[in-house]
This record gives sequence, C-alpha cells and structure tokens, in this order.
Amino acid sequence: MDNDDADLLPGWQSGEPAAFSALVRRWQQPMARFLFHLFGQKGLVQDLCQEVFLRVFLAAPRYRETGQFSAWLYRIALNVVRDFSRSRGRELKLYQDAAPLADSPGADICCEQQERVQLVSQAVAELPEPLRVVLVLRHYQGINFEQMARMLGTPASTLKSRFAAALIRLRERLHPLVRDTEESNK
Amino acid sequence: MNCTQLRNRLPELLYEDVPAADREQLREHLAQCPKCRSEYASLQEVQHSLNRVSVPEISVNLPLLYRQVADHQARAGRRWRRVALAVGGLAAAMIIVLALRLEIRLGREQVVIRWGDSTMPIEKIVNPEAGSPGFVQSELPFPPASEAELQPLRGVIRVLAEDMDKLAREVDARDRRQQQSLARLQEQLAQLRMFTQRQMALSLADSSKKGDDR
Repeated sequence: MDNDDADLLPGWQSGEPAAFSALVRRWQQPMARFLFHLFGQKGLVQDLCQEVFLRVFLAAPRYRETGQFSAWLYRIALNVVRDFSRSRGRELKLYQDAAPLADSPGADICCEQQERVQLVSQAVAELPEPLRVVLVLRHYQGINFEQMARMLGTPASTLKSRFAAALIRLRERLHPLVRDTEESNK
Repeated sequence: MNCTQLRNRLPELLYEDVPAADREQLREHLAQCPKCRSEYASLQEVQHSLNRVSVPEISVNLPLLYRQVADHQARAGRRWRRVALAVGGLAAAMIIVLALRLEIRLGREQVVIRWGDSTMPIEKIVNPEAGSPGFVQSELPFPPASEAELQPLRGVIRVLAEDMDKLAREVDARDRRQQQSLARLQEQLAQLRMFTQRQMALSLADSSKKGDDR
C-alpha cells in the first residue's frame, strides 16, 4: 500500500474530515482520468467522481486493510459506472460527448490533431467493456496485471489476453492514423 | 523464439511487463526481424495515440458531498423506520392470529376461515349434482366413538325423547280442552242469540196489541 494512503486511512476511518479531504485531493484526478477513459463522457466525470467519493465516505467503516486502497477504490468506481449505465438502460458506452475537448488544455491545437484525438477516443469507446476496463487500468492508470487480477477477480493471464486483444483492435481501428504517422516519420 | 511467440508477447514488452531475462531475448529477435519490428512499431504508435487524449480537470465538491452524506443517512433512517413499522405490524398480526386461534384452510371448493375452538367439525359443501343426499356433510376431525361410549348417550337420548313425548301429549290434551271450551262458549252464544230474538219478538207483539186496544 502507498505510504500516503496508509497514513491517511486510519484518520479517514475514524471520521476525521482532514484525512478524508486529503484522500480526495490525492485521488480525485486519477479517478477522473479513470472514469473519463472508461465512460468517455466528459460532462459526467464530475458527477461520477462525486458519487465515487460519496460511496467511499459511506463505506469507510466497512473498509478492511487487506489489500491496496487503490484496488478497493477502483472497484467502487467500476460499480458506480455500472450502476449508472444500468440506470440509464444502456451498456457501458463511451464517447457521447467526449471527443471535442474544446475547453481542454489543448484547445488551441489544430483541427487535424483534434480529429485524431476524437478518433482515438471513439476507438476506445467502441471496445467491449472487458477489454476497455483492462486497457484503461493498464494504460491510463498504470496498474499491473497481478494487481488487476486481485482487483477484478480474474486471472492475470486472461487480463493479458484481453489487453493484447484491445491493443490489436485499436490498431485496426486507428490504422489510417497509424499509417499517416509512420509515413510522416519516414 | 519464433515470430508468433514474440508477437504474442509484444504488448507485455511494450508496457514493460516482461521479466528482464525474457526482455533481452525478445529485443534480440526484434533487432533481427523487420516484420516483427514493424508490428512492434505499430503498437507503439497506438500507445502514443492513446496518450494524446487529454483528461478534464475536476475537483470533488466536498461541502456538497457532506450534504449528500447527510441526505443519505436521513433516507437510511426513514427506511429503517419503515422496516421497523412493517415488522411491528406483522408481529401484531401474528399475535392476533395466535390469540384468536385463527385457522385458514383451503379446500378443493371452499376456503374455511374460523377462530376459537378448533375441535368442532368443519362442514364441507358437497356438489349437489353428484347426487349426494345432503348438500352439506360433516367432516369429523376425530375418530368415531365405541359402542360402550355411546351407551350412556343413548340412555340420555331415550329419556329426553320420552320427556318430549310426554310434553307433546300434554300439549295435545291442553289443545283438546281448549277446543272443548271454545265449543261450549259458541253454543252458549247461540242460545243467548235465540233468547234475545224471542224476547224482541214478544216485545214487538205486546206493543202492537196495545195499539189495537186503543
């Protein structure tokens, strides 16, 4: 477990607002990144993140330090996303309004680059949920397969296969983009 | 290591999930095989493409979160109160059922709801079209009594029947006496009527004779 988390967890579990605030500050941006890439709707990231930390606060008495806090947190986030998707009566579906990123830090990038970013977001969005979860956890969150296996209750070998399948699907989907880049590199 | 084995492990190599010993072997193969190198490069490009997507900055609204916690706890309290009320109501219903010794029985063509003494037989409605002599028949919830047990009951029934016969005879005799009295009264009434008519005729005859004399 991360030392920062380990220092904060006792205070959080005993109801100290300062410890909880510190945990939120520490995890809100990684969680936003996870939710954004998993769910893909920029407009919903704030609400989903709020819901995740609400559940974290309410679940504090039930948390047991048997594993990593981050794994527990990501499980909560996955449940939030799935509950939200179910309540909307649709599959975990990305890329509704994710693409333009007009107010993102890269707002001044050229249209071509924006289109590439949109294409990538859309390609990730079109992945089946099991592949997308593994891709996001490994690529964007930097979680290794052993940790992921403990978190999701799925064998690491299965997760590695899913990750490879996700990359190959993305390569096929992003083929024009990859080819252009390769040509420009030559 | 052949190309197929290497390509299966390219994602692991790309994300540095390969043990150091295997990594050197994989890199040696890549250095010698242009096709595998091209495959690896295409995956690297996918990796770079994924890195281009930027993420919105967010900040969790802690005051709002604490209000949501308060609302959640209030809702949970209300839910528990409702559950407690439901359980209390159910317990009260059970107590009533037990206190009244309520019994609900589903038959083939009837539902029986009764309370109190459950040793009384339940009357069962019989299908009249089936040709049974009675429309209602009794279903005894206990075995029939023996002859010895029935003997005293028969004596009691016989005495009661004799009493009933005696009472009936007395009632008949009283009825006869009353009818005889009534017949006597009717006879007296008829004699009185005849006497009155005779007296009236005599009075009329006297008064007409006095008129002729004058």
